[in-house]
Amino acid sequence: MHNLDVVFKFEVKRMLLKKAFWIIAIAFPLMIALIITIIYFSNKSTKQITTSFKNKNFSVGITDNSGLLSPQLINRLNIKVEKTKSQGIKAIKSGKLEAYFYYPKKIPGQPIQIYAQNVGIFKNSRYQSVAQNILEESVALKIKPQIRTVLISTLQGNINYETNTYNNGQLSGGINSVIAPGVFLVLFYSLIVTFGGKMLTSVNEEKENRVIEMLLTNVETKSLVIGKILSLMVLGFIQLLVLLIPVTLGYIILHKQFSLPGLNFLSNIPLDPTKIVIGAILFLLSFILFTGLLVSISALTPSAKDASSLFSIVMILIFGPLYAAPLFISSPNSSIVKILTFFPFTSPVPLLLRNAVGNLSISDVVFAIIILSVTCILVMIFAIKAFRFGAMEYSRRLNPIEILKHFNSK
Amino acid sequence: MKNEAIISIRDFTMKFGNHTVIENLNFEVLRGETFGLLGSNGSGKTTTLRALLGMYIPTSGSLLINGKKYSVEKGGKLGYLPEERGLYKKEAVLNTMVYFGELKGMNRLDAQKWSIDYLKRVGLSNKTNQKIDQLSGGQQQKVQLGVTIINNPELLILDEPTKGLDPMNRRLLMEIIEEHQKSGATVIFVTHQMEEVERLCDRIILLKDGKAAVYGTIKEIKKQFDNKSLDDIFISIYGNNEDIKYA
Repeated sequence: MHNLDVVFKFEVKRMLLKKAFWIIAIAFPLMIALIITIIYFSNKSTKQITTSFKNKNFSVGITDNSGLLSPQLINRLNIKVEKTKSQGIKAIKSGKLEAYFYYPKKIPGQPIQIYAQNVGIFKNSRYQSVAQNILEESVALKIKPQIRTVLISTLQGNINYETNTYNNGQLSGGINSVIAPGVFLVLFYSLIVTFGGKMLTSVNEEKENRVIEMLLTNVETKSLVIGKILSLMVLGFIQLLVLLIPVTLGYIILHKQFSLPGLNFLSNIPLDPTKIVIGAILFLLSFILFTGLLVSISALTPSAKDASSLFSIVMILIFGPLYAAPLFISSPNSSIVKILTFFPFTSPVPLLLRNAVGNLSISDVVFAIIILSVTCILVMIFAIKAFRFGAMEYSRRLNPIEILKHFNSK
Repeated sequence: MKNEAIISIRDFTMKFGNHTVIENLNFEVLRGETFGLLGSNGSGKTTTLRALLGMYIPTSGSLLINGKKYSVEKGGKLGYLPEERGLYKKEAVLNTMVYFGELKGMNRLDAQKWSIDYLKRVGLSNKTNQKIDQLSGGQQQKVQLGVTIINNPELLILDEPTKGLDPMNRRLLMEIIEEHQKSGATVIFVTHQMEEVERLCDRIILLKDGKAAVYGTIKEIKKQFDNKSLDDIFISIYGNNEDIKYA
């Protein structure tokens, strides 16, 4: 295709040089990183406080009406026992104690009451951690060491489970088997959400800027449209990478802080090549269909603003089926699922989801791929024709029938 | 090679729905000449150029450049400055020019070098890295002309190139067009300024209601209208409903 490479390079380069691209790309991971950092430092300060408490830098008083606390632990930690709650509160008010915990008779049922000196929103959370720590350790001391270990592991989420389920006598991968093919659904959703609007404005930009006529004497419509779509795909992946790299790094560094499994959990994810290949094909066809629809909308309308109402219809068609997600998993043979799966404009989400959960038969896959491929070809041809014949319409919304009249023209 | 038609338009009719914009139009542009495509607003000048360049599909007739329907790939060295013109607003001046240079088949370095020289000549050498929307209307027009002629075209199609320019910039633009004339380029020139037509054009066609009202050399046409000025000829044609006159 004549000049495709020039269009592609220009579109990628100018987008990468835009501040807005990087602001959008970085804002989301930055926000996640900020939240993680706040939680991390909050946890860290709580740990430091607990340590300082253990080093007797932290004066605490208690009243135990529950009878659950261990007197040995209370002695060992030099915790002052107040006879009544009012005495404890008085000690806080006078500044004799930094924290006072009142353990009621019924635990669980009644709240453990905490009275303490105010040390700021984040640092105040240390009191609850210490009160909880005293209770946990006291209870743990009252039970056998092995049970204690199991109990603590359960509380901390360190117990691993391995589920084996069977489909017609064959071992199925369980929930982990959804992850690898499910990536394509996540990828599709992320690309459309981050780049749908951009695609719309990018295709409409030439018309709005009145640069289209100068372009069309130098580059074929096909090259221009495909160059734009390819560049947006590449930019979409760059944006996903920008998002994934800090998330992955954050996970590697902080998974222990949040009691999440280590990276070795990846080895438990089954990789079914058939489902992955089908997922990749469906993803690609869905993306082409979606971009074709967006190019068509842009070409038919005079500006991105005018295109936005039609864009909403496409978004509803493509992502509306997400609301029926439980149905795709539990009732794959119902009529509504079949209709949404095989009607090309609603098919991407049902197909990608059903492929991930494994209830898409081979005949369904073949049929869906044929329908999607044919629709993609027709939509892309329409999009290119619409772009070509809609290019000169600077102020009028075109009727699709006008484009269909030109369908056979070169 | 003069007298050989570079553009040939035969029996060209263009309808939009029930509305006929051009009806049975015939004319030729000869290689190396400067040809004026004239007419009042809505007479079909821009439609003719768009159909010639493949942006509109004619209802009937043929529009050929070098004996073929125009295609981007085999279009040769063409420069087109449309009436509805603009550039990427948020793109830097030099990048825009280089992009168009590359689309026209130049290599990046040559396009860059040519653009820098051109910007210097038109007094925009300090604007190379500025975004298009930071330029004034006249400055943007100079960049648009640069984009049009960057590949030293053999066929230059200019749709109202001087529209909105001040007298100084108009003179500069006329000089640039004259340079292309001298180097042998064929120029098609759409304008409402008759003094520009007299200065630049060898032959003209004047469209009225999508038909050719007059067609020929300026000398012949003037002779036909009792040596009136082109302005007066224009007014007399649009004031009367005379039949087509081929000089």
